[in-house]
Amino acid sequence: MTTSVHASRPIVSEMSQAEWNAAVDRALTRLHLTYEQLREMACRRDFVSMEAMKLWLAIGEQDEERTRSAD
Amino acid sequence: MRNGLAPQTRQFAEDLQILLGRTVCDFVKIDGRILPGGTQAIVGTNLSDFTSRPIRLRSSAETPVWIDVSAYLMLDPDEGLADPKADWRDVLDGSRREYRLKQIRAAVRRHPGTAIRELERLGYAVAHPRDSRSRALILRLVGRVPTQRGVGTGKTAPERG
Repeated sequence: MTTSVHASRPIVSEMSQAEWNAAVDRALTRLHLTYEQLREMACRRDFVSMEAMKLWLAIGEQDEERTRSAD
Repeated sequence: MRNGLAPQTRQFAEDLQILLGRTVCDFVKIDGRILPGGTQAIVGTNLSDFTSRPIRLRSSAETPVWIDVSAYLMLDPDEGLADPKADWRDVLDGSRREYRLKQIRAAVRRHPGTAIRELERLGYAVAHPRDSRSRALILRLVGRVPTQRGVGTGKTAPERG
């Protein structure tokens, strides 16, 4: 994954399901939250931090799609 | 990359990076991630995994100011995400027409000489305003500041017509 701060052309990479799952776990761990806690915050529309809201915006929709496709 | 969202994601990221780099940031890095399934993407500043992180904003404030930008792009596989109303094109065209007319009026005020020359090239006869009130009004609109010598040095001084 890219961490550079210098201006170069944007890198666009495709995440595999395994990479995505691992990245979601890392993000939740960093915020000391579980997925369920984050989902409850989304239901209440009351996030504990901007970072939590950003994370839900990124993973919430993806999760809903995954849930639908698993049904 | 095999999915169709990658080119748009790359272009969006590049445009955003150029915009921020040319306006309010000295160092800016924008990247993108295509999410599994290939129908969604995240674009953001200084991405770590898929999470955007803040970058320093150019500022003269004593306290550092940071900006954090993230955007979510979505491919509409069914081409049915938006279902516009029947007259959507008329509404858009009307809105664009008003915007363009406003831009033209502003351009004429800012560059009256060019506007006059172009009209004359097309065969129009342009009469210059003679009374001082009209001149003053035009000068005020285009930003010239009269001085004792009679020549303005306003910040947005127009070309000399």
